[in-house]
Amino acid sequence: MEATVGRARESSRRSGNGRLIGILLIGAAVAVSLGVYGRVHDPTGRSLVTLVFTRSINLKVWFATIAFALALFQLGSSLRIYGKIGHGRAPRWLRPAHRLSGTLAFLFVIPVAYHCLWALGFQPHQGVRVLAHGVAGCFFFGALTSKVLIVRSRRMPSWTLPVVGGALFAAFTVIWLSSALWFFTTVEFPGL
Amino acid sequence: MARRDSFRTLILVLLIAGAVIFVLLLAGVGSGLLTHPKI
Repeated sequence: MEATVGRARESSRRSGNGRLIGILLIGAAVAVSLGVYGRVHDPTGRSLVTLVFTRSINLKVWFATIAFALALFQLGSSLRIYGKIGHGRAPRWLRPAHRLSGTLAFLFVIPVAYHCLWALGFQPHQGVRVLAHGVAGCFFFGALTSKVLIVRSRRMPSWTLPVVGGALFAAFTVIWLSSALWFFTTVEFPGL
Repeated sequence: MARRDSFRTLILVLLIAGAVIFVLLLAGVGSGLLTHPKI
């Protein structure tokens, strides 16, 4: 009986590892595809609809900042859910709030990333800041794809979600520092 | 339980819709709705 249970657990573990590798490969494919797209696609040089903002760049930095604020909530709420901060069990509303904030952050990021890739492209020879921004941007969408797939998969190793979520947050921090914070500190603030 | 399931479905629909819209925009479909002619 114990041997059967052990074999079943081993089989389940291997199946989870295989699925994880597949998911990471899908994420890598997304990241590389976006980088290749940004590199080979001729930048259109078009601006975004500005909504209430004066220019596209202002809309982008503020959308990115809203998404970064939501990402900070994601970080805090995940630490609370995993019991790393606070006492006792996390409140029941925190898990749905975590999911909703992540989805909203993704929706705010779409027009920003779209403009970066479609209108500006991947620019590896414009200095360290632009290069880091482009690489982190491509990595971010790969990691995001992997994270969404991991959340919805069963039998994943327990460390995967915190590690991929942490990588996602780290990449978005680089993106925000190299774009919005750079804009606020060197161009204008609040820059609406 | 049903409420939780519908919330999860809503999140999934939003994520998939966002991804599809993102890909379509990058492919140039409907880009005119979001862009102006020049920067």
